[in-house]
Amino acid sequence: MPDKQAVRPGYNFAFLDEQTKKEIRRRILKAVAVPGYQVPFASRELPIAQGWGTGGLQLTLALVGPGDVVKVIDQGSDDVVNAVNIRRLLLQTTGVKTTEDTGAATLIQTRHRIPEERLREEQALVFQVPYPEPLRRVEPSEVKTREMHAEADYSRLWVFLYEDIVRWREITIGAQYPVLVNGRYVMDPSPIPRWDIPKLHMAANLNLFGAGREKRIYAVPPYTRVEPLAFEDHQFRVESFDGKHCAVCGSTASFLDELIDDHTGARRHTCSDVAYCAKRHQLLSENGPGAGRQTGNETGGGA
Amino acid sequence: MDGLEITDVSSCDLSGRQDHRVPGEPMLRVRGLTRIYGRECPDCVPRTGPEAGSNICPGCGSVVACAGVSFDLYAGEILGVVGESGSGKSTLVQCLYFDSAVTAGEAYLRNYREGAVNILGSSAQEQRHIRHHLMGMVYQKPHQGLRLDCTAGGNIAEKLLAAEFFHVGRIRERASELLLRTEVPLERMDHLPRHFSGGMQQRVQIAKALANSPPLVFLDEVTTGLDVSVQARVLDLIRHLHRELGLAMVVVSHDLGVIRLLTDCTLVMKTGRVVEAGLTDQILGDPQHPYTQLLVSSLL
Amino acid sequence: MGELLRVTGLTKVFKLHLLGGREVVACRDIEFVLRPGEILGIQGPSGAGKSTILKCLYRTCLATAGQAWHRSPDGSVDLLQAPAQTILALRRSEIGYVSQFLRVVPRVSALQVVAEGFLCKGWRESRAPQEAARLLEHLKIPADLWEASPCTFSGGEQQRVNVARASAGWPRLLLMDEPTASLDQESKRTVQELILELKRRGTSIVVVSHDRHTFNQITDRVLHLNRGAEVRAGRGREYAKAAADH
Repeated sequence: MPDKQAVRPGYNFAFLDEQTKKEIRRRILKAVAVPGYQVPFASRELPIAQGWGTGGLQLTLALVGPGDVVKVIDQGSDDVVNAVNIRRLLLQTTGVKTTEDTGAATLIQTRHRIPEERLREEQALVFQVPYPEPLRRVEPSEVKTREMHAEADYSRLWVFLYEDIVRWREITIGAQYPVLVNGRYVMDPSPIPRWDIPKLHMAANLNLFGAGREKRIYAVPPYTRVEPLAFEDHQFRVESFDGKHCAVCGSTASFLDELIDDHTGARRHTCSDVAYCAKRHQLLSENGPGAGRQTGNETGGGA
Repeated sequence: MDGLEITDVSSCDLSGRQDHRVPGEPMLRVRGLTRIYGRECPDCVPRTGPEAGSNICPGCGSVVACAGVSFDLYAGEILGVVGESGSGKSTLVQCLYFDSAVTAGEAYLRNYREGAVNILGSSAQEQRHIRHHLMGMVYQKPHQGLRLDCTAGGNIAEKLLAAEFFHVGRIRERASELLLRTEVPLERMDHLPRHFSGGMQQRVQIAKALANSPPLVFLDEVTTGLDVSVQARVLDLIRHLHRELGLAMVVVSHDLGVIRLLTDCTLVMKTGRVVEAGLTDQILGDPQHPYTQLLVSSLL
Repeated sequence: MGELLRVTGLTKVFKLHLLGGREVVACRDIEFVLRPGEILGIQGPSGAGKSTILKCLYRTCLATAGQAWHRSPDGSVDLLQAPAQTILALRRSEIGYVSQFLRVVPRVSALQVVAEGFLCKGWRESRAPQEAARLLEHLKIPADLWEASPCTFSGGEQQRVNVARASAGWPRLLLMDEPTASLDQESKRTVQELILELKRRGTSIVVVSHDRHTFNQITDRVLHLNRGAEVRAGRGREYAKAAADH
């Protein structure tokens, strides 16, 4: 049940007015109906600046209900400023429960990561998207890119990948790797690392993408094919950590951040997904080594 | 007869012999192709043309770029389209390659749905499919047909990728093969055509047009603006490719020398209309229309 | 086998639009029959329309009136009216033409020019150059010239390449316009021999020439033209004799 005390008076539930939320939900339905297709919507003014996750936030605000448990992460962390501010806004305009536990959340807003813990059918993941157009790197004109999508004409993006391979022997795109959704639309998965791309493929949960400044909504519905663009002889590969493990929880099957100690200059790696790391750490200290045995269930990308 | 020992005809291998009768069905059938730029009025077509001496409609000011163009192109044949600037010859091929929409007219391609569908009326998506699988185009200016900021290999790859050929190794194999054929040094494959000479750009463009082995290729003033010696090399290349691959081609040129060298049949266009059509050597040797006679007599 | 070619009422009027539409009659109501394996000569003064007849038959000229039925293995074709594609196909497979002047691409070797004739008649790529070489050899074109373009050849050599090209692959019908002009005596004899060899192989030939000697040597019958009209026809040797008696 919502926490009435937390709610500031004078605001509609979830900040946006009901008509706006309805309108956004209609756009979401269309996005779900045409997986990977960018649905234009009238992006609203919010009490945070554009470029700080307003697209994702509008989706979250349109979807959140009193019974929801919300989690907000930024680059895998619940505690950085962007995530904290958005969580606070949600709390103050809805009073819904928030959590850091991925498994406990019903609605997760994220920037640049997909949680390591595999999501379930009843969960929805909302992405903050800076640049929704995957073809922008080869075509500056919006009119042309729309035409290209309409005709499924992706040859120029393919040429871009081809030339990347010719020049560097591999595709150098790190984050924001273009994917083909349901065999039809090429989609920008937002700047998630390649590590997270396989998690989108046939995911049980609903994935929603919102670009506030660019005014676009798109979706990958549950159990939808999501294939990274790759050549028969140059397969898609996720980041490799070369047997490194998390300094906190010992994980070898999660996306790792490299940390350099300012004083000693020593390098160490920790899980990028902080909540996941904490959960494993707790399990380990409660039950001893072996309790945190990784089933391989958590990640799509193999180590 | 001394010195002449010639194998008897009966012993020669005729397995490769083509049926020398009229090939059953044309590969490309064009009927009444018309392209008008402007508002259009019912007078546009009747009040323009060679008799009127203009392709600008006196009624509404529209430009009748070409009107009522019909022809048949057979497999392996080269059709020339000749005429002065503004006669509508480039518009004709641009319409057939779907670069420009048509005002009226139909075209049927034997290789596409058994020639039962008017390809000029097909959807943009179908037209793109036809362009990428069944047609090639070489434009007058290399930048029209090439992406100068993509490598030569990338340009060829674009055509292959459009036809869903997703294997870098095989793409590069095919690109090398095409560049070899079009006499572009292989070490230039990963260079930008921006830095190539005009003749080499044109050869890369030809390689790109041939990437998917289309049965039909359009060539729009491909040697215009090239040095004479470079021109000769490009023309020889086209002749050679035609012989080797048996392509059907439509060659647009204002240069009767190019037309004579390359084509079997020719359409002569003036102010948007075909004024004469026939065998190329007949058009050049015995032109019928006053305009063609003028054109031929102007030949250097 | 009655006839290979039957020409009736062949008339060609040139309309010169650049000269205010003036009309020039090149030939009128030409009639003749060519039998299989026969060599028919056409003779007459300059401007009598001899070349025009050949051009109309090969369709480099459009006849104004008349018919020319050519009996091809696949049926009869009116050479004056048939669609362009039929003419192109016939040119590739069974009709050869020796023009007055050789006109070739300057960058193609003599050997290739002749081999082309074999290739388009369906000879294998591996065999055509050999056959072409034999023809050139027979026509006494020095072997060291074969790789050069005929454009660089002397007039006589060009003419022989021209004959070789048209004879390549042994066409059923060969139209020859002054095949021995600009040739010396020896070359003339060589060309005449080739023409007779063609005849032996079943080629029927219409030949236009000023050269009375050539006519005496090779033609079976002669058509004599005067100012575009047909005057008389007869056996070559008899005609020559009759003319000499005048």
